[in-house]
Amino acid sequence: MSRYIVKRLIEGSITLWLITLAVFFILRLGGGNPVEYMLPPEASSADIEKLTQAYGFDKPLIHQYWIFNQKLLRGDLGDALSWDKRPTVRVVWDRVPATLQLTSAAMMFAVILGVTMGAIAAARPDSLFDRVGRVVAITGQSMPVFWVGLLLILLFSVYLGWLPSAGGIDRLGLKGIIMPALSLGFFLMASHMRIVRSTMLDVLESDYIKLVRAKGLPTRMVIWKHAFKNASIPVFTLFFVNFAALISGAVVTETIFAWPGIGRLLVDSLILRDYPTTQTVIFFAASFIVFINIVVDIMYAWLDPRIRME
Amino acid sequence: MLRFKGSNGELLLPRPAATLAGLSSLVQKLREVFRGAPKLSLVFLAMAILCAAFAPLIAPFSPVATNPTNILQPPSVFSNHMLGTDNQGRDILSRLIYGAQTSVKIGVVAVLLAATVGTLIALVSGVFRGWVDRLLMRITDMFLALPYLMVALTAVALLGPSIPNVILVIGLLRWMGFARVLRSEVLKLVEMDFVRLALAAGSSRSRIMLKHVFPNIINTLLVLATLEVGLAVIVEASLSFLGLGVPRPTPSWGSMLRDSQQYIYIAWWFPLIPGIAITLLVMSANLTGDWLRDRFDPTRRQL
Amino acid sequence: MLFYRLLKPKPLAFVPVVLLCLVALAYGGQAKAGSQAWPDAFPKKGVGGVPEAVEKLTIAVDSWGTSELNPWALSSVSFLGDYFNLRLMMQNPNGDLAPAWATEFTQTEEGITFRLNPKARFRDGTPADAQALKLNFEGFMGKFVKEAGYEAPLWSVARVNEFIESVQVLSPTEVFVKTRGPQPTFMWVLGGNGYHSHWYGNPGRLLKGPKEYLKDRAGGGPYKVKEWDPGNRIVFERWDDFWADYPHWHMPQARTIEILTVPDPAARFALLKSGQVDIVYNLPWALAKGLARSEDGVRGVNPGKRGIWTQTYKANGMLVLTFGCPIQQREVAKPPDRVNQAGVKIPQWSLSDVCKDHPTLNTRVRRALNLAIDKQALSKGPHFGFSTPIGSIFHAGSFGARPEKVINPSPYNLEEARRLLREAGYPNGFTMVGHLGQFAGRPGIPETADFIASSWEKLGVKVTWQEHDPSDFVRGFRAGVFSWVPVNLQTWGRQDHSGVVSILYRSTAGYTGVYNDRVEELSFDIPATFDPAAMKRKLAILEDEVLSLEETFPLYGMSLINAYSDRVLAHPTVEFSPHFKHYDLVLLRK
Repeated sequence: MSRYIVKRLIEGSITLWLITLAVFFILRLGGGNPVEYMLPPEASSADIEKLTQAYGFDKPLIHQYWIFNQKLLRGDLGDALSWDKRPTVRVVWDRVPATLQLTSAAMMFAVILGVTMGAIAAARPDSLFDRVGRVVAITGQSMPVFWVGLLLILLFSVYLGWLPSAGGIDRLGLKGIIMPALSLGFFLMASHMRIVRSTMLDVLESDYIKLVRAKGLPTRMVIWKHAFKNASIPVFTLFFVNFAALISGAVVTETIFAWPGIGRLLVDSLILRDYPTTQTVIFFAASFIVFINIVVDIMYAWLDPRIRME
Repeated sequence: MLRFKGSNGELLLPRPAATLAGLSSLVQKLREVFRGAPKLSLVFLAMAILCAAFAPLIAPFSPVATNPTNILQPPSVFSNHMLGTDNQGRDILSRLIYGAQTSVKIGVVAVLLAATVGTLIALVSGVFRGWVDRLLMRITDMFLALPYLMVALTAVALLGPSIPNVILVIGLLRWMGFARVLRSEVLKLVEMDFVRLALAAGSSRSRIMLKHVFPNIINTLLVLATLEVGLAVIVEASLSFLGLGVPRPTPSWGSMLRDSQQYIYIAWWFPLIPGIAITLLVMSANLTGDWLRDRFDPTRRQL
Repeated sequence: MLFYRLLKPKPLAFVPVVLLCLVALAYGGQAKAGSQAWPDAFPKKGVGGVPEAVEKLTIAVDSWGTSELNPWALSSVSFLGDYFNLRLMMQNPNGDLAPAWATEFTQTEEGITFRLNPKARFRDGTPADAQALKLNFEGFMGKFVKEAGYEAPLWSVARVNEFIESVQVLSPTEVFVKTRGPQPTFMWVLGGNGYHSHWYGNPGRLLKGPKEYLKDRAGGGPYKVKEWDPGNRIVFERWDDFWADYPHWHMPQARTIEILTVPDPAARFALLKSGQVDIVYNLPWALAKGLARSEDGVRGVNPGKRGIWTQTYKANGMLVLTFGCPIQQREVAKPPDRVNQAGVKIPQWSLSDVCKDHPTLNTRVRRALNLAIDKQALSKGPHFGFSTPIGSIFHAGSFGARPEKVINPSPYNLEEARRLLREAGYPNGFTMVGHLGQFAGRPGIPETADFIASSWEKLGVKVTWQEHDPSDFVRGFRAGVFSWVPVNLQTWGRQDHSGVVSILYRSTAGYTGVYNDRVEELSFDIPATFDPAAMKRKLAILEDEVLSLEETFPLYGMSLINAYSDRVLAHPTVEFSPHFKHYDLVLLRK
């Protein structure tokens, strides 16, 4: 077992390192000298030359990458070019809590609401609730995340004036997280609804249940509990994977709602051509995804020894 | 003696009169092909494709010509502009029609690209096995570890926003789904007798890929592709929304939504309508994909 | 060299004093009639029910410049420096040059003598004296980079070194800066008035190095930095013993100022509507239409209508249409390894494929394209009446602007445009790609692009516009790079009434949109001209030269709208280019 864990960790690290390599070169091959992007229009060519030398951007690319790698091994992902020259790790880490709050709230909303509605729909198949629910679910999986956000703003901020549309949780408390979490989690909620409904109905119509019912043994409650437990499996199996996907998708939500998380940090850094920060954000997000995958793999390997042998 | 079976074993049944037979058997065939189809979705998809192909003939107004005296008119059945006008006085309906060109073009071509790459990798991986398979799967895993939207954003920001770049970026970041699912199909197929026989008979691996394996994964490929189109349209809209889509003044549903943002307090129709178009297109693609999946595998339950 | 011949040492020795008066007059003369001059008729702290102090002022902006706080290591302009660091001089709400750290200065072609306010102190108690000023100048010049642990110097290090030869402390309150030859534009770059780009900090803390400095960011200004989330939010805390006591700069009313960066304009407006912020910088023009206007024509005064009110500030830059292929052609034809008048090597230009045979190389084509744009319709329509069509490359209120040129935009004549295109050989038009940059604080640019695309379609000319981020766009204009051909929309014009605009001609060849030998000559001449009247004459020659080339066409001057909640009683700030100025002078109701 521990050999499997070590193997996965090593593979994960290599994947991450390859990602940093790719991102480093892609960012720099695309653009020119970062100093030219940083300085205001008034800067003269002499200014630019001086600063290029000071930052070491005049060295050949391979040399720059070598320096980057050396720092990487020490845990130093470089200093930001724009966020007050702070270490990028610090800049990104400061913004991670906000994104985690947003994604967790979205996940909670998606799971609780999605699973409940799916269960109710399965309980009353083809009823009005079920039919409306299916339309909502299908629509929900077809709406772009940012549009859901815009619609919510239109309804709750512009027309009803109930909820503020920007600010972040520190300023507004819970009121501030409702709309962003709703818009980010809506797609997932719809997906959960469909899966739960479908799985529950499958179970309820399975031969096993039919047999058990025919024998007249358990109560309805027990049947329902069994169906529900089975329906929840896909939700939980994909829980972590979905969480990781939400983090990536938070980019657009954070932009609309001025949420101070890493998605918005990425967009802002790209606009400023701040390569070190962009790299670090992608690195953090990718690390999270890789980590989640490793954890899930380990869980499966623990549950099913055959996998360890692969 | 009554003969029900012909020399080849086919059932002999009395054949109805010629012309009507031809027509009604065509209708029968169509009915068979489109059994259980989500009709509205197919109609909407057809409309979107028509708009994309014939926009200049269908749209009532130019999508580019501004009309400074007609800015931000609300939608009204009685006016020339049924869906209202935008912040430049341009007809929203016409911009929607022309915008379909962008969505359909990007959606279809990007998915084609992703499907091609994914299918190739799945075929090579499944047929050749061994270290080739392991290497390709490692690469797939690496791409899967990327935070998708973030990388797409970064790539388009650096390459410069344009239709080819967006297609490239979407296509090159979505092939992994195809690769994985199709690979497991291929692996199953490769174990089957007819492939083993072909191998034993001396067919080259590539011949096997093309003649034996590929035709049998087309169904799954089609289903995946249809479902991916929806996602590609959403990603294109998201990129346009963030300012990385098609250049002005070319209309695109995503950039219409982007322009509408600052007017959300005074022109509700402007952020609402293009979003409805996107939702309908994606929904149609998704429902069609679901239908195809059920069609090819009747044991699955309709979700 | 022209300017050496123009200025001879002795006879002009006493001219600078006169010049100072002229300069002050030039500034003062720009104040518009029809509004109350500040401070008359403005609410005052502690008078008439206005509280002496309020707890908090919250502002939402689209950008505050770069997210950096260390004044010796800035990589671009950061307006936050106004609130916690010092400037040598500043603009008062009337736009006049007014004292800040320095109470007065005298300038000759040898150098500048500054007299500092003896009361000036830094927040930690150390005196803000002549030695502190000297250390700041040296910090700007990059003298402490290795010693104090700065990885890179200030962005303008090379230029500051071009200005300053040495700094001498004459007394605890007097400093003499020896300039390298006459530098009339010194104050406009380093002085702190108008669109300023340099801030002076507490050298005691700065010399400890960037990491130490970030632990306690306080200087000689009225606030200190209490909380700092780069790119997102900053909280300032008032210095209750702030030393300055000028009418235009004194202890502020608000004990705390919080500034939030919210790039989305609708979100900024939402924050104002829900009462979370008191001031919104740069409200979209469409939203301002339905809101109450400030009482005063120029400065922000609450009209007393119990709700959100707005103030329109004029000429926060302007937009020009530039055709780049002619410049490329001219520059490419020149020999390599040229050196400009300052001795700096001029990068060799290359001709892009696009420009080889481009229609815009023909003057008639360019003229036609300009005639096809109805500037009045643009302002009234998609700009909701908030932009002003303009005919000068200097916007209203800027030094050197000739009113008769400013208010006379080029006419709209579609027929003539069509005729010109036919004559030029393009009766069916052609296709091209344009470029524009989206800048914070500069509204209306994408709308203009759409409008122009529509206007040119009537001629058969199809243009698609590539949008660029500000940093990307500015980079494309560096001399030798000049990427944005064949046509682009540039936003520029220094937003204060100073001659600083001329400096830009030298450093970024494409920034003016045009660059020929005459313009280059003038671009060195003008910043070295001491006499304001002479400078104005030369600016007029420059403008005529630029406009005659018909490669740069002014479109409109931009207004910027600030929106205020009912809590705000007044925001006395300048008429032009309110880049974050005077938020410390905002007066609140409670």
